[in-house]
Amino acid sequence: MFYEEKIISDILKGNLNSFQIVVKQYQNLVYSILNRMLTNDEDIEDVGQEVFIKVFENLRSFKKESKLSTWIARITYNIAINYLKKEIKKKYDNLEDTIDFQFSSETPESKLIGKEFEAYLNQLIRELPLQYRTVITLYHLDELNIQEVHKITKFPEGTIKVYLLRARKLLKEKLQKDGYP
Amino acid sequence: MDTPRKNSAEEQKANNNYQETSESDSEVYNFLDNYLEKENTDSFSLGFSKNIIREIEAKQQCRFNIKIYGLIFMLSLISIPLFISFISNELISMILTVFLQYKFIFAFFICGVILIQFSERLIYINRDKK
Repeated sequence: MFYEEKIISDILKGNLNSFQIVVKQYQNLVYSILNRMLTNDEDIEDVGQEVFIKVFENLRSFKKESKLSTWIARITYNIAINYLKKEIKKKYDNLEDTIDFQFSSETPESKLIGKEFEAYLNQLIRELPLQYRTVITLYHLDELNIQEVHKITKFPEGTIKVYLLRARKLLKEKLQKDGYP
Repeated sequence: MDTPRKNSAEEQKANNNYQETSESDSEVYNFLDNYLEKENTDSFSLGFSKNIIREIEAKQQCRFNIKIYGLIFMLSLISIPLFISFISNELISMILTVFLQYKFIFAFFICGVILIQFSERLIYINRDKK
């Protein structure tokens, strides 16, 4: 069992084994966020390390107002955004640009199933404008709800809903075009 | 208070009530939801958590070293003027005599320190390779 309170107090006492448990518990969450937010696979491991080191260094400031997973997701999001700002000159994609947004992924010649389809869908999500892919990733991960996504991204709740609708609509249209389901 | 999550397709319908959501659209949305909600099976490399712990240990060690070096620097800063104020020809000749008398012990001590540093580094490199 994962007892959040006890583990946090152990880490604050300097127990690194307890922190390793936290890393193992939340590494899938961090990976999923980074996997969709960052387009370069090689960066995911480095940024992931940066995330957990920041979690360790700032655990004392964790106020327990939200779940630990939400707090870690927020740190992941902030680090990913900062990383993208440094790496990509574009910074935040402009919403106006997204009106004419089109996927560049080629339509597969035959219908993909299972893992191949997951990879293809991930590719489509990665091509979405940053704010869309962020919101859709957070919302569909770890059962985060709109309020939690708002806590993480600081986007207004209405905006999150709009981004979700648009992202899902873009994906739906692309899938329909490809002949899915 | 957080509101509970709705089914995404339901939410899409609720937010899109000014538009008709056709059956085929709902089917695609459900299909999409199934995949989006699927747990991610990919993850970081196997030694990821160990690497992080190692990095944190290295950072803590680095911070400790900085504190120690700072302390040594402060002590040197205090002791150098003190030493200079006590220095005289007799003292210098006495120090030289002591040094020459125990030169092998001094040399052995310096070699020992260098060897310890060297072996520590080798151990770290081997541990990293594993």
